[in-house]
Amino acid sequence: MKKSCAIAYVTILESFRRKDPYVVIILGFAIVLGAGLFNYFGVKGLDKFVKDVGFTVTNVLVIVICVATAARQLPSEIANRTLYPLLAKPVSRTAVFLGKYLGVGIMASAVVLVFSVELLVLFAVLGISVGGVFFQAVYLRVLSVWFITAMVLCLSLVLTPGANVTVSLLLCLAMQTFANTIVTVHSELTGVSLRATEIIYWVVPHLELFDLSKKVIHGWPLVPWWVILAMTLYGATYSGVFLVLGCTRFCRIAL
Amino acid sequence: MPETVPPVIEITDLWVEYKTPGRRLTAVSGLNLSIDKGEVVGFIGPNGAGKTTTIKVLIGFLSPTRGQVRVFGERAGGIEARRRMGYLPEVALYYPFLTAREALRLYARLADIPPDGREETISALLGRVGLTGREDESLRTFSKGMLQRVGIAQAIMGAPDLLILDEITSGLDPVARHDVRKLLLEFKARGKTVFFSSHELSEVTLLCDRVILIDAGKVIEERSLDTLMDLIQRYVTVAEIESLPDSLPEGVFLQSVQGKRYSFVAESPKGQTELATMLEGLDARVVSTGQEAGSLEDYFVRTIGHKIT
Amino acid sequence: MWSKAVGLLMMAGVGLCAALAHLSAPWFEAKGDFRQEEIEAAQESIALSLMGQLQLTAGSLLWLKTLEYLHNGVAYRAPTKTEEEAGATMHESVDTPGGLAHKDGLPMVPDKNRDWRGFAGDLQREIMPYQEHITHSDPKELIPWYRLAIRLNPNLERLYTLGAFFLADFAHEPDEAMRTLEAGVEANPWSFEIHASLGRLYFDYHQALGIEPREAYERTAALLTKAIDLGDKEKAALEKRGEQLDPLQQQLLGESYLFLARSYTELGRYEDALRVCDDGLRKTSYSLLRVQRRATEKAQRGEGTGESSRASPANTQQQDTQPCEVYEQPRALSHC
Repeated sequence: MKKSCAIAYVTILESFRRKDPYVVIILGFAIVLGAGLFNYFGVKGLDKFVKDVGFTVTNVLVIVICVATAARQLPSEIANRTLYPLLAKPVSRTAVFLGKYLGVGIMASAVVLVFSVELLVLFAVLGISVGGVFFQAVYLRVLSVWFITAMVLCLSLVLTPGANVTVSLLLCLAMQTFANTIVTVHSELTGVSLRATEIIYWVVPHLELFDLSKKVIHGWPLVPWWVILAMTLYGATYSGVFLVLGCTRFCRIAL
Repeated sequence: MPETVPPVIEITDLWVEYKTPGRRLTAVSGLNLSIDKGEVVGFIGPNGAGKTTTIKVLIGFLSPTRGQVRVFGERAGGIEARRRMGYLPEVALYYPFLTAREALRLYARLADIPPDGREETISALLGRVGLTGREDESLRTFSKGMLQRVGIAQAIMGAPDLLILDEITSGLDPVARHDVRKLLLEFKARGKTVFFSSHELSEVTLLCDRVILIDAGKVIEERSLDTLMDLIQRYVTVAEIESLPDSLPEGVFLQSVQGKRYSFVAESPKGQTELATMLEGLDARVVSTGQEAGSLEDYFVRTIGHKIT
Repeated sequence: MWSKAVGLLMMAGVGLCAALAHLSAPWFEAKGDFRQEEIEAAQESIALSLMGQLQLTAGSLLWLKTLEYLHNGVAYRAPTKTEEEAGATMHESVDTPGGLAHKDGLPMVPDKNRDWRGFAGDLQREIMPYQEHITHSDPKELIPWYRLAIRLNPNLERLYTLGAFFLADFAHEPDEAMRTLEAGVEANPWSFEIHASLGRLYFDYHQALGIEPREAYERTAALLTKAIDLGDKEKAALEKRGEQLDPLQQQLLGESYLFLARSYTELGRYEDALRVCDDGLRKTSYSLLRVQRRATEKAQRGEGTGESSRASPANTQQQDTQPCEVYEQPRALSHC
């Protein structure tokens, strides 16, 4: 575990020295601030609009930076051969893989937290109140970046970085929306297509379940504790699946 | 009964095959070699001979298609085997966003160097490879030679029992090469085992106890350095004769002519004996005889049929 | 230093290009009066679809977003054929006055009684906004989305009418509402809905808009006359295709007759008012026109001089922030 932490530390250091998180955080803040301060619509007190823009920007940028960072980790190590001196040391490939996972996950979680603080400050300045559900939304978003990181790291061992970013972003979009489509058309299906659709529904991860932003935007109360527990287990399970798949693949790659 | 120490490296019938689209490429075919504790072994061969592939199998970057590879009696690539070895790759980049000190700190943590004294170890290593004063600069600013020094530092970190070096002096200036040789000789003096590949045959003669010549994935020749040097020994005879005969014995060459003084070179004692018989028949007056070291490169070119590059 | 200079130059270049594009945009505008049929045909054109579908789709998505906002984040959809046949219960609103109670379809997150997913469905009902009955939020929050949707699709008429409704009644910005409807009239000169809404705005909010009553009623009369004319044409065009005006349009047409009659009454043009009531009753069967007819006759008898009644409730509205309450006429909320 210590060795994974050492690799995670270097991964985080790389992200910050490349200045990726800074760019994203500043850009996000600028967009949200603009939404809050620029009264384009000639109407005051548009709380929901500001919250909506804030969460949309946050969600999109967090997913983008998570995917972009995770997608390049292992391929660049292999291409640049920085992996050679690393793996010549008494450290397992599993530890290296987990270290990368930890590093990207911690960095992306930090970005989520920074965005959340930015939003809270902005809302406070504009006199917009948010309930406790805001913090639940932040927690679920943090869970989702860990799951996305695992998925992208796993895919990075079979796809080039560019293809991985494209495919992963499309998968994230699809995972946000496919569930509603299946639920809507379910009653119209029969036979094999019904079974196949249900299998897809149960197997494919549901990213929309990690998104509490609508409840925050529209001022809903806290969700029950069992929901948070269930989502934690759900996220951990899918992260585990992708980690196992990725680790297995990474341990068998010829360098 | 004295306990036998297993070889540090033991390779038995190693085969490594790569699957490329449409065909199967055999990089190593039936390689056998054994290296004992304290030996310094040079591993030489032309490009594509299978040197780097063999080294990758020893480290664990590749799995053998067939055969058995053991390091310190353990399966090659295992954690315990890697704990006792240091590796310098032929071409390696180190994280450009780290400083030299940070990079060595990372490798020290991975090599289980205890936290107490870790920083002192790193400082000493940086001094040893001539990077004092540059330790807090980003590796992005380092030249190839300086990166190679960082590589050497991480390879010798923790005083490993086995040092595996792939193209040891590639990219180094002459001063740095001298330092590396000195370092390896120190290792040798301390009874450590060194296994290195190199194109520089002069490195081989200066450092090795044994030389393994590999080509097309197979060991072509394996000799101790003394035996090899004997093999490539040349016998020089300078004699005064009236005129040069039409032909010379096999393995004997004319090196130079100065008036009536001819300098002959025989590649073997047999050739020298035949030369002596010829000169006796010509009533020659032998001015001097001696021995000189032959060209290792010439020897290998003859052995494997093409240049080592 | 050079890289920074190049970067700054590029930013300046981009800014210059943006300024040039803004200045030259009017030269590239397609000027011309398009009829409604031409716009509809263009929207269905494959070539234009390829170029403009993304914009139209984005506009439609924003339109859906306004509905989501209105319903506290809960998204609704029309039931599928199978669901209709199975008798799926559509959600009803519980917080609107009687005249505005409506059903909005089925929630995107299914009700527990028709959810095949068990625990997963319960989970989703807790995470996504879900309610068993429809409730509404402050419509003021919809305004930015209407504005954005109009920018993307200036030919979606209901965006203007609903946007203006929320601006006037909830955001208390009748000036903004007026400007929105005027822009809508310019972009959609064939739209009877927008003309009718603008006419109603002048009638209800003339004090807040700082317009003299007489002028306001004359403007209302002109607009509602045009609205009725356009409405009749649209009705005829739909009937030719075997279709009808939707319920909201039918109500709007009826109200146009009603408020035209009221405007004429306020202006003392009683004969015109009575004629409008009779026309309206014949064409729309809007029952309130009978009430208006009696009110006009009463005013005609009472005045005898043709002057407008000072006791007209429209003239006695305080601050004109509330719609006219004479008949407790609810202003309809429209839904897709």
